[in-house]
Amino acid sequence: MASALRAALLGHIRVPIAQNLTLNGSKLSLFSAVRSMSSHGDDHLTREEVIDRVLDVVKSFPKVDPSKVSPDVHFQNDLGLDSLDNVEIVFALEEEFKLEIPDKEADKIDSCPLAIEYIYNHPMAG
Amino acid sequence: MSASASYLARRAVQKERVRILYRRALKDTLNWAVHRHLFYQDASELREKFDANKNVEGIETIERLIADGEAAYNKWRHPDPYIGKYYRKSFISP
Repeated sequence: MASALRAALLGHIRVPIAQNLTLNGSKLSLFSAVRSMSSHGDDHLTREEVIDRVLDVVKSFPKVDPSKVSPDVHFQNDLGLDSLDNVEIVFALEEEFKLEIPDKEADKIDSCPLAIEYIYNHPMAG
Repeated sequence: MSASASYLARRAVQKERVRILYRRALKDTLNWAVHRHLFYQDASELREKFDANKNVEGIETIERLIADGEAAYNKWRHPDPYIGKYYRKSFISP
């Protein structure tokens, strides 16, 4: 069921890594070379770390009641935020994970599950 | 009189334009703020400007407000936008 959810979410939000893999061979081989030379293992964030940090950002938002925050909440429906608060939260998430999310994709992130899934699948999340 | 589908579609488009304008203006506010505390102040003022028009009615009035907002954003856009890690600032030489 998790994989079906993941597929649905990825279909809902276009993920940049699919673009990178279809570019010309030199870019792909550079990416592969860097990865194979890496001395530490997979340095991508774990899902748990992404969840923890996303929840921290949401709980720190002044208008949010931290006790209501869980990985399933919808920012507007469950936390009582409005659309501009949503914009501010996504902006805070971009700062937290050092990401630049395209405007149209950022506009679709309106819940913790979507935020977690997007960030977890983003190759540049740090 | 029930709202027509085209009216609702127009309003939905307007709401999206507002969200994206707010997002871009907020990022631009960060570009302009040399110190972090200035960003918070400017961001707060920006939010108040948007909130002031929160309950405006009339689709044409809303259209005009959005156009005014987009024009103001384009006029004040930072010439050297910050791209990359937000906590590392560059200074504009005189």
